[in-house]
Amino acid sequence: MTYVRSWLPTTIALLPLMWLLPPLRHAVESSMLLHMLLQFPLLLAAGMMAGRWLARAWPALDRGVARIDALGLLGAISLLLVSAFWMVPAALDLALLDARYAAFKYVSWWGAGVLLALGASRYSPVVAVFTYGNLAWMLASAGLLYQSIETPLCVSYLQNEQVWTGRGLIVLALLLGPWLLLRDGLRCLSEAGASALPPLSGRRFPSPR
Amino acid sequence: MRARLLPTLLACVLASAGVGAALAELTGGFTHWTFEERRREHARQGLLAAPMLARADAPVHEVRILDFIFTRCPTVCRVLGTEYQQMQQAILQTPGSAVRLVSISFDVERDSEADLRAYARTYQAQSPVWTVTNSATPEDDRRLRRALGVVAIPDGMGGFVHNSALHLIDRDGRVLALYDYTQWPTALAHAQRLGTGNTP
Repeated sequence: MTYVRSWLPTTIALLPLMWLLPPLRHAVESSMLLHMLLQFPLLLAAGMMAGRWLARAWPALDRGVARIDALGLLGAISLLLVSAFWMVPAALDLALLDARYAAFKYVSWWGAGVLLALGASRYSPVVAVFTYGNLAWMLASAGLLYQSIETPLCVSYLQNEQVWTGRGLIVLALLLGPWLLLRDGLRCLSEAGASALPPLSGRRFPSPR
Repeated sequence: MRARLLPTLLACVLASAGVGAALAELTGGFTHWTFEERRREHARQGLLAAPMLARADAPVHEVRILDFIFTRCPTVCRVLGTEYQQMQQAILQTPGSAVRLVSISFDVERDSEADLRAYARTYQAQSPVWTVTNSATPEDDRRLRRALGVVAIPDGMGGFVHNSALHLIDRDGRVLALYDYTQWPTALAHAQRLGTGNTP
């Protein structure tokens, strides 16, 4: 078990290398569902694993990022921005047709993952609720749009794939949203409740004078 | 805490501006959200061109109405064939017209010379007004369609689905306009105006 635990993050971190193999890349990218719901999350996960490793191996980088990532806000905003960009149908097509957009896809998802991981220790539950609430809403909105429009939005994918991807995005939103909202929302409420009581062992942040 | 929030907020604003700029570039100022809308806007701006289609020996005013086909297509290409037939008739009845029709097969692997000739016979294509052809190699086909932004994907039933349009192309290979199939009378009128040297 320990063996698996130690190798799993490394394996996930190195997963983007498999997209260097054209047959494997084509197999995943030729399906809209796999492109959006497998490749994107894997790139994000690879970035998160790399971010964890970077935080240990390069503390100076972690300290540098900490200066511009109070409460994990920068990581949260980056995830929302990158997700929004890659929901645009034109971006999905260009990721397959234009090498610049393909490079941006890998860098943006991976980079968002690194920032998320670096900011994990600073992540405020309020920011988490804001982020995941917005992310779930965005996934569901894009999903509803994809499955309801009767013409293909992408030139690289058939309309029936678009419908299935839309359904997939809605399911992901329904699973991800409530789970993460419950997890962080409860933390948020418990912290809010705790702060309403007289402090027992000091405050988390010093009060502004 | 406030001191740490300011650089964070600045970084967030910068990240938002960066992705916003990329999104503006992608969508032509938040107006064209699909690849096809973006392609048509590029055509309107004169940014779409296929230099490999340039014909230095063609008349100065020559305008080609070009689209992509595959001869086994049971649906759209058949309708397109009929529309091309009507356009051919109109061109033949216009003395001095420099409008030419071109049907290019992208099914380079399966469409043989005989298949192309059979397609031309079916729709009574008359050379040199209407040419039915294909690229010499799959690589040439890929380069041509990439230049024009035409993507053909397997439909799962042995055929293809592709972003289809009538491309008005000048003798330098520049796309002058893109029209939907249903707009073929407008496309032909536009080409005829340009093809007789009478710019609109």
